[in-house]
Amino acid sequence: MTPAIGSSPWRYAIGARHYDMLADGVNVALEQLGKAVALNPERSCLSGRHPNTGVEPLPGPRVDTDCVESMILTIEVSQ
Amino acid sequence: MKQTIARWLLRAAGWSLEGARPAHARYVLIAAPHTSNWDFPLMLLYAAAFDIKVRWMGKHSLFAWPVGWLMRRLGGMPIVRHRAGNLVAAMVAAFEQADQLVLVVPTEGTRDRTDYWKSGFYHIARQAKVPIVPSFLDFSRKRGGFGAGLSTTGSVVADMQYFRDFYAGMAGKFPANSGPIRLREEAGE
Repeated sequence: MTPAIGSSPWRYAIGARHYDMLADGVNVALEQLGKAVALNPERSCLSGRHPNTGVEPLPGPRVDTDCVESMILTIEVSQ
Repeated sequence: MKQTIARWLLRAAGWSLEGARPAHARYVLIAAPHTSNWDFPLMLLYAAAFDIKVRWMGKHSLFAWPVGWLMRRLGGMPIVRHRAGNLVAAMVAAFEQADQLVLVVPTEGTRDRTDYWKSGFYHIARQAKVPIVPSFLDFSRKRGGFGAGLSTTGSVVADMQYFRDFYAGMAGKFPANSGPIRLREEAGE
């Protein structure tokens, strides 16, 4: 498994055993986050897929700012 | 602590604070001009710098895992539109039940150019009998802050003129995306 946090400075600072445990933990968390986003693309703006237009997702988890903006409500009142 | 960090971040980015913290406990806060993605994080920083806890309305789906907790921490109020029915009435009720509530509304509704502001902020304030406070981010001077609150008079044109005067000369990040400051219903007066 590829370490998700830095490399040698971290390893020296916290020791090889703790470093490997921490790296595994971070990787598992990232994996779970990726799965959650992939399973629920319409539920968050992390997928890069716009919930209204269904535009193709961007590679990797990232925040779609158009998506976030479309979710902040501004009300129009019709007279 | 949060206030100190926010002020430091703004200063480090070259932004200055202008005006004082609004004295009201409950009010509708206009966030304008809105032309860029930077407006929202900057507005939150300014609110923190003035020690104001702002709330904003968001579609309930924005509050789902994994980002829901963050949106709530940032002041988001989840709204289920199809259940809420009359959203204005729901927000008026929220004001009536709260001792302190600052509801921020990006009145243009989008960072693209629009010909009219959306009128919900006005009707919420009028029905809840709370003032409307204009906030601004002027990218031409890198200054942001708050103006004096306006208690609605019932004359939409007169009230909107106050905001036209207030925002005159201020520029968003992309000035070409700024449209006129007016409501559709002004034409009917």
